[in-house]
Amino acid sequence: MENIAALREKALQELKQADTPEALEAWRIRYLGRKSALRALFTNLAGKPLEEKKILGFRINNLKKEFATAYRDKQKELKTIHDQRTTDIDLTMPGIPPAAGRLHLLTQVEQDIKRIFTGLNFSAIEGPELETEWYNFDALNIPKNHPTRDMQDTLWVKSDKGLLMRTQTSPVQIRYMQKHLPPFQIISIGRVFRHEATDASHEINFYQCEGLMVGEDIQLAHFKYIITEFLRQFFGGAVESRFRPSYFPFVEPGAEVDVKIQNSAWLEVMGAGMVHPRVFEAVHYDPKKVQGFAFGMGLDRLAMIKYSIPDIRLLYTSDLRFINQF
Amino acid sequence: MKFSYHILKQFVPNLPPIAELAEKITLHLFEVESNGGDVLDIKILPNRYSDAACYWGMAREIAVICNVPHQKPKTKKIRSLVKKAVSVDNSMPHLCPRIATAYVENLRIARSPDWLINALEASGIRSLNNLVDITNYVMLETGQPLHVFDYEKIQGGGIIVRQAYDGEIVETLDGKKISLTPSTLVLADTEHALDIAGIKGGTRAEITDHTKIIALTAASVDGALIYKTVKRLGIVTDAAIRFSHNVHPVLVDRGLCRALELIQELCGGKLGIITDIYPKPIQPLVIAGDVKKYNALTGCALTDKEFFGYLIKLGFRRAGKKVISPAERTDIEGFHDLVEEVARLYGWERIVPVAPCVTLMSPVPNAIGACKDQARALAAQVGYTEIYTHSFNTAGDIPLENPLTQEQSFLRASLLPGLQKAAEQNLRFNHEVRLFEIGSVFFKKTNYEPEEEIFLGFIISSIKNADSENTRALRGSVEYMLNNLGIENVAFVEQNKNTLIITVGDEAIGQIAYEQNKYAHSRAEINLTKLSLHRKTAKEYQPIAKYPSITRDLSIVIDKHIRIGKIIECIEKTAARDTLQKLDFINRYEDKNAGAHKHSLTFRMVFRNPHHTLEDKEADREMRIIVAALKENFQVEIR
Repeated sequence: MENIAALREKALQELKQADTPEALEAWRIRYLGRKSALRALFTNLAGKPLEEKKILGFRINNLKKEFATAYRDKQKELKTIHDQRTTDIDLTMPGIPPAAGRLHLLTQVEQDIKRIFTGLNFSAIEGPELETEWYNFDALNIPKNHPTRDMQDTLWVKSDKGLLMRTQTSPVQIRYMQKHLPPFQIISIGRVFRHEATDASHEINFYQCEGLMVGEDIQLAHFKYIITEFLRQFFGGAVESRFRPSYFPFVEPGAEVDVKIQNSAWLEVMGAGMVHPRVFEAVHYDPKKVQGFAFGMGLDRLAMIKYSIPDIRLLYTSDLRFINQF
Repeated sequence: MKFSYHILKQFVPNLPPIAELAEKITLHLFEVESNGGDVLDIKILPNRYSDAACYWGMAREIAVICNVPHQKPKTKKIRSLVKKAVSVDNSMPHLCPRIATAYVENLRIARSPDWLINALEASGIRSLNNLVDITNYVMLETGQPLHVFDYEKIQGGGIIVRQAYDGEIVETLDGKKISLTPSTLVLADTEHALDIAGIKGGTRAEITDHTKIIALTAASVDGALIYKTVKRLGIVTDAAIRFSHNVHPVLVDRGLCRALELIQELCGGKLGIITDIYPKPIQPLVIAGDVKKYNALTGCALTDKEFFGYLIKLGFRRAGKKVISPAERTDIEGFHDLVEEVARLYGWERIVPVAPCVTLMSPVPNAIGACKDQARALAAQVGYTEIYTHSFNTAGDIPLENPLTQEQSFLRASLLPGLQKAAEQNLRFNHEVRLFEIGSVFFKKTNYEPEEEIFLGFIISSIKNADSENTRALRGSVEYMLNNLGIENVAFVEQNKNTLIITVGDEAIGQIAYEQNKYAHSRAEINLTKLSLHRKTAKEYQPIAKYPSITRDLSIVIDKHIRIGKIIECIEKTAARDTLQKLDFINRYEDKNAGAHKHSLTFRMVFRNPHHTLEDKEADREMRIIVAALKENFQVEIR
């Protein structure tokens, strides 16, 4: 008995120390081979009585199995170490960025806004950039020879038909209402143009999002809800907003909405109000039967506030060092 | 307009401190900038310029907004002491609905007292002398522009309101000689025009230090007329701005009487007879005030008393269920304007947001919007970065009337110039750039009507020279995008050495163009507006090929000038349609042995038959047919 136990301890101890394939092979010969100590134990069984033979035989067989398993495990271990030492791959090398393209920040903002309003069951529609005077001004209650025309400096196209580059996305309201009946809620995002010298806060072309919701009983309270909800989702919660009276010829009451992010000053982001009865008349709705609100906000301005961009012109420079930041 | 805090305090004694006042005005009326000190810079909205751009109007508003007592201005009526008048002959009552004059003699022109000089300075007006200062100050106070003439210089002692003669010259107070036309109104005497009505006075009857007798005038002039005149003559004055915004005739006698009160106080003088010509007094507007309708529009729950209460505070008079609008409120036109007044006084912040309850609506179909979105996603996917450029160019079909710069005098007819310029700028910092832009371009079609369509443009630019790798990558991108947008029947037709026209069926929908300057530019432009009508987005499962394919390479030596596209066309036309699965152009090789004007091309063909396993001999047969066709159409050697 002691022989078996002693042999076992010795063998496993030596196995632990075998750290090369050669040492392991030597161990195998010594303990599992034809002339090994294990073999010797089997041979010694010959002259023993039957009962003892059975018990010892069983134990020696188990020992053999244990040795074989330990040998295989050690073999695997040595192989793994060997592989690791001779491999060529150094995983700590820096990665290679994939050749992916990117969407412009204004597109991302546009998609953000669309997503928020689509989630409120608004439909997104399109309208032309090259517009007529009627759609851009007259239908919106901005008559000729009136100072309200000066509120937006116009880029005129050479033609005898009163063509201009739209100064706001509001003409889309008129176009939509001419072809559809309420109730509905729509937005339209697009490029608008102003005849203004460019500087850090002014560009000759920029983007607006127009919104219009009309029905039998759409109220100011609903307008406040939609806008407050939009601002909360767009700025991600940490935003204060305030509504204050203002004037646009196509809404009455008219308002402007300011936002405050953290400790900034109040920053104006949108003009809005209840659709003016004259606008409904221009599209042949009965102002006594419908009411609604409309709003217009500048995408560039929203982007500049949200992403701390100091100069609107950066959005149109096509400089990859800017575009790739977002 | 800049207001002095302490002058406002004369009318509103319990004015809150300036910062608090600025905030209240912003929340209930107009935006205010206050830099501390005594001055409030109030941004008067265009529809309130006629009544609130003056101390009397603003003070009343402030008193209501701050809920403090209002000291209504009281003008002392001056007694007439002299039986002299300034006669008025108004030949244009429809453009000048009211004009009033006053004769004052025995005046003393002198320096103004300090309070008057300071009051004018607060609004940025320079002091001249007590008389002229009074007219300016009364304009600031009441909103009514005034003009004063030296009576002794008026030929005939009366004022005539008439159209200017064609070419009539008025020398204005700043020494400029202005030529007029009949679309301008003037105040004249029997010989000459003395004043461009509503805009600027002339030198003929101007006030000097020696003036002893004056004709003081206050008039109401048509807003549209003044607006047009200002634009035409380019003269902008405080009076002109006010009149452009429609000053109500009711202010005429308020201004006149207030000025007379101050003139007597500061200049001495004896008042003569006041002449006031107002043949068709404008009736005040009466509007039904319906609180139920107000609540339905706003979502508030005001009572009748509360609703009318706000309006009464603002100077509206109640008549049963109706209100009579204060005359000077030219912005009030109907019920909606009452809603604005009540809502802003009530306070926008007090209106509680409520989610609207609506019937769900199906999204409005927007084919071009969907096409744009998908085109963008695809372009970014295959490695292009989006840029936004301006909508203008130095050339194009459609010129602008008033461009800001020479470079921006046309609407762009293509996205490519902008893309190329952007690429070149970015090549200062990169070896290669891939950019795209989606935007509107503008051109004239055959019927000369301007058209607007949405294009997708993209470009691969590099600092390396002519490199077909990039042009092939660009064309690959075009094919990838058209395929994923669901466009079928696409063909590429060579227009010239550097341009391929892209067609869908019979229609040209874009182009691929190559340009080499300092850099190599591979560019493409696609008409998305047209494409959005051709998209086939439904897909159908195709059974996966059961039988294996056989691949064969073919190398030929051929003249360099023969278009590879033509060779491919020939092979595709010749091969059995359901057997040639794929045809790729693998390699181009310049073999010196073949001759300077020849090169070697390798094509790879993949054959597969959908019905049975293709045998080698069938593939061989196909190759023989192809080789025969190539030999027939071109001078080729097979390698």
